[in-house]
This record gives sequence, structure tokens and C-alpha cells, in this order.
Amino acid sequence: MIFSDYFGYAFTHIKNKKARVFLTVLGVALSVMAMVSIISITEGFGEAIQLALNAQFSTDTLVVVDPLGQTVLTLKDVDLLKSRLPSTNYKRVTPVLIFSAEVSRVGKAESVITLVAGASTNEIRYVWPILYVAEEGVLPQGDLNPDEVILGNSLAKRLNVHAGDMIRIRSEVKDLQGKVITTITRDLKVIGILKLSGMNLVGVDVDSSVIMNFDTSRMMVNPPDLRDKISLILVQFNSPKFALELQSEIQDNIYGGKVRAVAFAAYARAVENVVMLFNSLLLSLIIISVVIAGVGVMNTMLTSVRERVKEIGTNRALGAKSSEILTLFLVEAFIIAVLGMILGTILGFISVFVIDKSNLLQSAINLGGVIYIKASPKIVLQNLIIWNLIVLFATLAFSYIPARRASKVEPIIALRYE
Amino acid sequence: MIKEVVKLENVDKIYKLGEVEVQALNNVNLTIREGEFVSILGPSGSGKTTMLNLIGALDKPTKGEVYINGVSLKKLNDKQLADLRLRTIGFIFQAFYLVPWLNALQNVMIPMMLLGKPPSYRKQRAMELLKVVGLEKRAYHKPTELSGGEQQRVAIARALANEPALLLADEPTGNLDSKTGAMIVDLLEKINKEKNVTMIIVTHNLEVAERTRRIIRLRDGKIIADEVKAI
Ligand SMILES: Nc1ncnc2c1ncn2[C@@H]1O[C@H](COP(=O)(O)OP(=O)(O)OP(=O)(O)O)[C@@H](O)[C@H]1O
Ligand SMILES: [Mg+2]
Repeated sequence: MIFSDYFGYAFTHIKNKKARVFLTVLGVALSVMAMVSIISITEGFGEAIQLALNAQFSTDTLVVVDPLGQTVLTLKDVDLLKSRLPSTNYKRVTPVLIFSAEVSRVGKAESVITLVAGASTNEIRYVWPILYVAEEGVLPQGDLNPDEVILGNSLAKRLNVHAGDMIRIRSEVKDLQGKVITTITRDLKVIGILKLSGMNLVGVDVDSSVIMNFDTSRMMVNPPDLRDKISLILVQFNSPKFALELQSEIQDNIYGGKVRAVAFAAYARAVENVVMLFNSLLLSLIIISVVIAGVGVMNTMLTSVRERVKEIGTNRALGAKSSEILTLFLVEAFIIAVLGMILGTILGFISVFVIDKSNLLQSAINLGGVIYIKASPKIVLQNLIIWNLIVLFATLAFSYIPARRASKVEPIIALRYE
Repeated sequence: MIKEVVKLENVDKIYKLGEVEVQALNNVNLTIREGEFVSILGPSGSGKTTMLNLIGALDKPTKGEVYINGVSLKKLNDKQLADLRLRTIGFIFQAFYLVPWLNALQNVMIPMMLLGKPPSYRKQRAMELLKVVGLEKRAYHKPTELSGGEQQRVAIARALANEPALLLADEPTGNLDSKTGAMIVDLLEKINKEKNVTMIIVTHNLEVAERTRRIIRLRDGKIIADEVKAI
């Protein structure tokens, strides 16, 4: 038999059994569609996580916070940490003051309540270098001047503010009991606007935040008797290892459990574990899809072989070799698999598009606000090709059973009964 | 000397069904020469199909030797047996056994496809063969759209596709009325005469058998008579 005749014969049979073949092809296609979506989600998610691990979780850094308000963190704590931590281990210890304030563009009525972070840009830009990138204006190499701010991307868009514009920030000064003592309003110059990051760092959505000079922030939110109050301290070490090791040293030994010291590496590990679990779950889903596709084709073919016993027997009597019968059935399975793969990939692209547009994925991985990642499914052609080849291989492997059964049909037995 | 196309030597065929043994053929000796037109006649269960299957290389004897064109089938493996069926033997079945989802033309082309002939040749020759059996107008009809006699003629065209030296027909008229049956026998006779194809027809119909020059009678797996009519 000529090679192309296997295809010709199989195609003719497929054409004459359209309804059944369509169902089988659809079965393969649905599996492939699921596979394509899952792979694209995993891929997009993985990429977002990777970005997060690089930026959000600057793994060499830990943050000291006082979640329960048992201790008021102040600049003295910065000095305390500097004196207690081995100086060869850390790169920097820097305070951050976070508060909410009303922000508007000078001369415009529209205002937004958002979070403002007072910090030394000369320090935090080394903690999150990937995020310290300007879309507009220039970000300072050193510290911000007292009357300058940097704006998150979404906030700038929302207020229609550009680099060089003035913004007005109104904040409330509260005492330790939370009673408002006075409000302060200041006009500040926007010198830079950050690129969109999708990141949430230590509870601050970077894209809608304001970064200001640390000392200015103290004046805007701390009462006169508590000028040194801060929200958190960032400690950047020489390696993630130190960050992990010194977590409990700070939390338990230095502070006796009154603060929390959390290494971003610990988050990163937790997230990595979740991602690994997630990936292996998805991998098993993919494998199940592949098996379903293969079993579907096998099942149809088993029925087909049973139905075609007379045809097989006749062809064997006419001189077909058993290897030719085997090949014929494998070729038919191949065609069905390829049709299913093509249809399934198209359906998969459509479903990826729908998932992307509906933002399903983003809400799916906004884990309790702690870890917030914007991810979109991502089609990686190479992976799709590899997995489609696996589907093809699996389908052929499963089809080998019915194909072999077909090749073993004995003509005299097949033709005995009418 | 005329070539011995078929030779059976002391052939036994015993079917085992668990404990029960059925002796379908019992020490059969037979020689059929090139160009002969032979019928095998016998009652149901006498072993006619069994004998034809052995000659057609579809089955193996329990004892004895089957020679086709002087070659012992014992010496051939599965692949070689398939090749022998493909190139040397043509089969016609009582139930026609056309592939239901292929049209007449495509059915006739199958043996040529198996032989690896190019598509253009196959189509042309299949058309010629359909003309020989008088069905060129039905080339694109599926078997379900053809009458029994027409289906059998398609099957004859298919059996002739690779110009076999030996044509085996197992009750080719068994599923047809006597008039159509007679027409099929006419056709086989014509092929035998014109192409010098050795032809063996299995039948339990005396009328059909009497159309052939040589009648081999079987009973209980034994040849009980072997007559050649004088011309
Ligand atoms: N595969 C088989 N297994 C067991 N017994 C068989 C088998 N094939 C045939 N037989 C038996 O062998 C004997 C001869 O059968 P065979 O089919 O050759 O008869 P036949 O002459 O062709 O009959 P018919 O005219 O009914 O077709 C019968 O008794 C039959 O039951
Ligand atoms: Mg019979």
C-alpha cells in the first residue's frame, strides 16, 4: 500500500461516518481546549508570580510592623535595630510612614482618598528597584525634596496629573487614641509618575499611592509630641538567608513578641509553595484531559473495529497484510486526533480570550489582599505544541489497542457469519 | 504439461470445539490445472467452504499439504500468504462482502490499492472491470443502492482487479434468484474462457455445477466423485 492511500482510505471512511467522527473529534477538542486554557492560565500566573517574587517580595528584605498597636514604632526603633543587628549582615534599615490623605490636583475640585507613603527614596529604590521606574518625569537619585512627590500611575491618570503639576494633599493629625487634632493641607510638586506595576507592597497599592519626603510626611500626620512615629521599618539584608534567619531574632528577642518581623522571602516561599501546588494540580488536570482525549478515541475505535469486522476480514481475504490494517486504523486515529487538536486549540484560544477579558484570573489570585497579583493568561506557542504532541502521542498509544485488535481479525472467522 | 495451479495432498482439517472434534476434511487429494472450470458440489456441512478456504490460503490444514502454483503454503509466513492472496487469488463470497461505505468503483479499486498501484491506473482499470461486468453506469453507487446481482458483479470485478490466476467463489449464486444466478455463472464462464483464469465454484446447486466442465462431489469431508465432462 502506498503511504498516501492509508490517508485516502481513512479519510473516505471518516467522510462517511461524519456524525460519529464529529463527536469523537469534539471529545478530543474539548480536552485540548481545557488543556490550552489551563496551560495559558498557568503560564500567565507563573509569569505574574515571578514578577511578584522579583519585586513585591524583595526576598532579601524584611518588614517590621506593629499590627496590634502594642508598641508605637518610632525612629528610635530604627537606631535600635541598627545597633542590635550585626552590621555586616544588613544593607539598610529605613523607616516608612504610611497614612491616608485626601489628594487633588491644585485648582480642581475632584479629590481622592488614598494612601501616602513617606519614605527615603534613596533607600526604598534599592529595596524595590524594578518598581522605581518613571513613566513620566524624573525620579530622584537621592531623596525627594520636602515639597516634591512621586505619584502612582493610576492615581495620576485618575486626577489627570502630569509631571510638573502641583497636587494638594490634606491630612489629619491624630493623637494616639485616633482623635483628630488638626488637619494640614499642603501643595506639592509632582516630579515623577511611576510605571504601572499592579503591585501591592506592605498594604499599599503602588499604582494609586503617593510617595513623599519622609520628613514632610511626619509633619503632615504626626502630632507634635509624637513626631518620630513611623508605620514600619524595612530592613534589607545582604541575602534572603539573613532575612529569614533574623525574623525571629527581631520579633522575639529584640521586641519580645510585641512586633512582627516578616521576611518577604517567607511570603515568597509560601507563594512558591502555593504556586507549586497550583501547578501540579493543573498539571494533573492537563494529564486527565490528555487521557480523556485518548480514551475517547480508543472507545470510538473499539466500537468501530467491532462494526468493521466484515470489512477487515474481507480486506484480509483480498490480500491486506495485518500490518496494513494496523496502520490504517492508526492513521484514522491520527486524523481524528489532529482534527481534534486543531478545533480544540481554536476553542482554547477563544476561552483564553474570554478568561482574559472577564478578569476571572485576577480575582482568583487576589489572596485575601495580602498577595495581590494582576495576571492574564498567556499563550506560549512552544508549550502548546509540546502538549499537543503529547495529546497526539497519547491518542495514538490508546488507539494502538483497537488498531491491534483490528489487525488480528481472522478472515475466516470474520466472514463466517452473515 | 499444463501447470498445476492447485494441489491438495492428503489434506485433513479438524476443527476442535473444546472436547468435540469435527473432521471437516478427511484425506483429500486433488489437483486442478491452469484454465480449469471446476465446481465443488456437496450438501451442507460436507466441507466445501473449508476446502476453499484452504485453497485460498485463508486457513491451514491440520494434516497434509496445499500447493498453489507448486509452492507449499506451509513454507509461507503470514505476510507471504497475504501477498499470495493479493496477487494470485481472487475471492467471490456468497454474501458479496462489499465495503458498505465505499461506492462500486472504490470497492473494485481496493485490491489494486493494496498492491500499491497508482490512483489514476486504479480508477481506469476499475472502470474497465465494471464495464466487463456491465456496471459502468453504477460506478458511483454504494452497495446499498445496488441489487444483489449487481453487488455480486461488483464483487467479481473486484476479484479480477489484480488479474488473479485463480478465482475462488463460495456459493456466488447462493443469495440470488436462479435467473440472476445463471447470469453470474455466465459471467464467470466468460472470464474463464477469455482470460484462462482457473475457476473453482463451491455450490450445493446441481444446476450451477452442471455448467462447469468438472464436478467434484464432497460428502462428510471426502471426495466421493470427480467427473470431467467430455466436450
Ligand atoms: N470454524 C469452525 N469450527 C468448528 N467447526 C467448523 C468450523 N468451520 C466449519 N466447521 C464444521 O466443519 C464442517 C464443514 O463445514 P463447511 O463450512 O466447510 O461446510 P460447507 O460444505 O461449506 O457447508 P455449507 O453448504 O452449509 O456452507 C461442518 O460440520 C461445520 O460445522
Ligand atoms: Mg459453505
